[in-house]
Amino acid sequence: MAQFRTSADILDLALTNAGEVTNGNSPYETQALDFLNKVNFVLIAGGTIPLGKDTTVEIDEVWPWAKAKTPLVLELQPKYDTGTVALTQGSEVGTFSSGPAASLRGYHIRISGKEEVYKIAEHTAASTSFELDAAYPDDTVSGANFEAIKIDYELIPSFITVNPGNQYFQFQKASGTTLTGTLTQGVYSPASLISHVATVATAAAGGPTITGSYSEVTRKFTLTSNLAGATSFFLVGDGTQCGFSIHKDLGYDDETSSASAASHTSTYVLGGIARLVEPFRVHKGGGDGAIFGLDSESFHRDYPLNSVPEGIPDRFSVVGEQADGILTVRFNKFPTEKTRVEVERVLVPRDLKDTTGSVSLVPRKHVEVLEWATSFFLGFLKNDDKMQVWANLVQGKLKAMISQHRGSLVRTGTNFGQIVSRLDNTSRRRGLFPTEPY
Amino acid sequence: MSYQGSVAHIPLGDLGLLTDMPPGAIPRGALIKANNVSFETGLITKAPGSYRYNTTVLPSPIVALHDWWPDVVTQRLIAACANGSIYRDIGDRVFSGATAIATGLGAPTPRSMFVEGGQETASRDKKLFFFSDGAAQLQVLTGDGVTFEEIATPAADWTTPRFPRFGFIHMNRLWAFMGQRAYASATGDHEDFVTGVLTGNIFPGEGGELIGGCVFKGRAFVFKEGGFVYYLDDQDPDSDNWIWRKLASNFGLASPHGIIEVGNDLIAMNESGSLTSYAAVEQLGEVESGDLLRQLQIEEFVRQNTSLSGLSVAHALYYEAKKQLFFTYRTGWRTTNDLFLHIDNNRERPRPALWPKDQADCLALRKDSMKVQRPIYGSSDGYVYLMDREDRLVGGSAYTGEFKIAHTDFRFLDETIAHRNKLFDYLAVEFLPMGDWDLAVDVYIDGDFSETINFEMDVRDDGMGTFTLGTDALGREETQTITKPLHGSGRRLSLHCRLSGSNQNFALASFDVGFRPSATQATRL
Repeated sequence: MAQFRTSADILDLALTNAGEVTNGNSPYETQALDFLNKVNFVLIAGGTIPLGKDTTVEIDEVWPWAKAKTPLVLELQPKYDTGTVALTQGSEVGTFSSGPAASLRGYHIRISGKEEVYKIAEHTAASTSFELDAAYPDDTVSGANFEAIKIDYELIPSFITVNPGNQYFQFQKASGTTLTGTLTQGVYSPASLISHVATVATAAAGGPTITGSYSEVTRKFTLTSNLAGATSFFLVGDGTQCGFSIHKDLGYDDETSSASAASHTSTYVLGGIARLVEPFRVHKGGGDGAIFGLDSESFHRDYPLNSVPEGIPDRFSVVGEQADGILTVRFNKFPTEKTRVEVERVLVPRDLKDTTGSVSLVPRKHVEVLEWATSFFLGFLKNDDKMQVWANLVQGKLKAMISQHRGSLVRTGTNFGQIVSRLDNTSRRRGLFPTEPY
Repeated sequence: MSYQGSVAHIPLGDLGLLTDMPPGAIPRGALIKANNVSFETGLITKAPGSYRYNTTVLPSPIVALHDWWPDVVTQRLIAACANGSIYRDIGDRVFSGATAIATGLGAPTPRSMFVEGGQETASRDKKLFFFSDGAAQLQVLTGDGVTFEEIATPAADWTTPRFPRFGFIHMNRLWAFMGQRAYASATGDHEDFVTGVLTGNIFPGEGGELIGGCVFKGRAFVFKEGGFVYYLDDQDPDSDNWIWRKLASNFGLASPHGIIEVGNDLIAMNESGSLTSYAAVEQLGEVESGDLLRQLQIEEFVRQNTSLSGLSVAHALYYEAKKQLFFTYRTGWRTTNDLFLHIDNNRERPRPALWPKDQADCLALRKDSMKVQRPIYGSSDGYVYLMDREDRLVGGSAYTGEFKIAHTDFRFLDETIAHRNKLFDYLAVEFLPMGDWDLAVDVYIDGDFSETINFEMDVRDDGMGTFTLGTDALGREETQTITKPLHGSGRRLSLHCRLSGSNQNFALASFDVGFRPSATQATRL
């Protein structure tokens, strides 16, 4: 417990505060971990920590330590308008005169001379045939010019970088003996990364063949061992290299898998987002260099689909959010050429585990808030009259954290939190970081 | 600010093992496990050690021992072994290099016994007789002789393969018993079973063979297989008119050595493995009322933790100097007895404990240098052990002393808190300092192991570890208390104390448990 850093340390402290043993025999061990995760999640992703009547603390801070280390990079696609298209009234099936090289699934299509905009629900790369998301209601057209535009994007990383910070992969082919594979540093697509991990693991195992796959549907990875010459297959997320391991990027937990299995599918989706924290950044096209978010109703009122122009977008709206943090956004324009957009976000917090390899994003200077909040919930569960002490400590600490954060913004920023009465007292351009000065 | 919770004081040492009752009703301080612990000081201490006496190991398991004083100044130790030989030690602890003074006595068992007799007239030597439980002819050692011999004039029917099994001295005769028949020697010669003797059957046909006997309050008793007890009506001055009368048919004896005289009582290990008090039976009229283990409420516990296979060779001993009783038992799967039921009889209520540290096959008393009779035992490893030693070793090896208090819900404080959850805060142990080592206290909450808390058995530096002249006090007699955090919550609490190190002892006076009553909550499964 000396480091007071890992989830195991924090759990032990909280259990001790609650008058429980820390040797694994406490009946509150599981609940303590649940409470720790609950508080950790709220701190990072935002929410409330109920401490009692009139003492609930709302968390809505964009902690700099909670943000993803690198922004998500989106590649906006230009329109596709090669050849012509044929559509039959009452049918959802359409035909391109020449098959697009890439799949246009999810694209919107505008027919020359027609007012409405349709969505391509199904298309396979290089195929001339496609299907709309509903029957084509207009008059039948053939040989018509068209524009297929992509304005909806899932906020999923297309590439993963392997560097010294995540170049190891640890696993066991026999219980208790951890093997380590070292990945080649570089940039990988999800599919190529899992393939490389599998290759490295197979070499390190010296026996079983390990294969890997990535699902474009679930956005999860799967590693499979054929168990040849091996008794078991465990993934190790809390090994000696857990601080430099690829398992986090792949979405596996910070623990050794509790049971041997031929296949292990990741717990978390790739790049699940808990919250967006800044306008998107785009570094061309003039303007503010930022793409600002709008609520869905305002967005569709201001930027109706049938008048989406070509250009660098300056507005987006979140049009879909899945439970595991996959967001779908819609832009108000489509670029004339491929364009890079950077997205700052807070990732879905990973579950903390009762292992020394599990470390919260909460900085060490604030980590006691996790301990105290967990102690409070345990005390509540046990009807311990000490729980009010922990509630007070948590409330005080949270207020101090918020105050400290905002204080640092004031001290390091120019106008944060200040009333600027004259426009000429502000900088000419709007800053890219309205909430973060650095 | 003073402690706001409740404090439960649990005195130790007042009660011993007490198991056969509902857990919640077990009184505070009673133990549900008591292995190798003693209560003689009024506290709970680790049971005293046993010192290996002989430096030369005897070649076979020891089945009978006797502290033989052929005269008032000469002390010998006589040991019979399972190989049919008898050995004699003159005090140099080597048994003459394990040279036998008798051989060829068949394969005696721990049912064998030595009986002192002789000196029928002032000019004659004392004699030590050896009954081999019928395996061989009755043997005799005369005075400080160096050879056991067959007695001079055995009864005519003591021939292979039937010989007397046990005996005792009564009314100036050596009484010997074989089958269902009693033989009394001549009064002038305990080796003469032909001339001037008394013989007669004891209720022939009833029950099995005679097992054992004793003389209690001047009256001879014998026990027969099947639970029959007879006594010799020897009120008539003419021995021809003496007659055996039946006393009881439900007072079984397990072994010839399973009977001891304790104060005004006679206690026998019965055929079911329990202990029967003759005084209680006589007073109350029924054997059940005289069942000591039932009275102590450990009958079921002893039955579950011992094997009946060792009953036929069980030994019992009363250590008068310390008012302690010892009974040998056998745990499962063993072929020799390996467990003492130890009962401390110093207080009105006897305090029982189990001592698995000793592997005793036969028990005896031996006078120490101050002529105080101390318990000794012979073991299957060929060694004689002197019991009640200050060190906490058996034959040089450490053993574990441990006890466990009942799972208490603290209803003795307040009935209403029995079923409420308690938030345990601290545990205080009151003890006499014993040395610089840790007593491990395992904490059980609602039956589940929670944690182990170590308590140093010398909270101050009393010189038991490192002694600094002019600085440290040498020894302390006052009790000390160590208080440590106790974690967890639940309805019931039990504490299991254990200490295993060489020569390490503990002397515990009480526990104090600090807790805060919580709400009535669902059981956590």
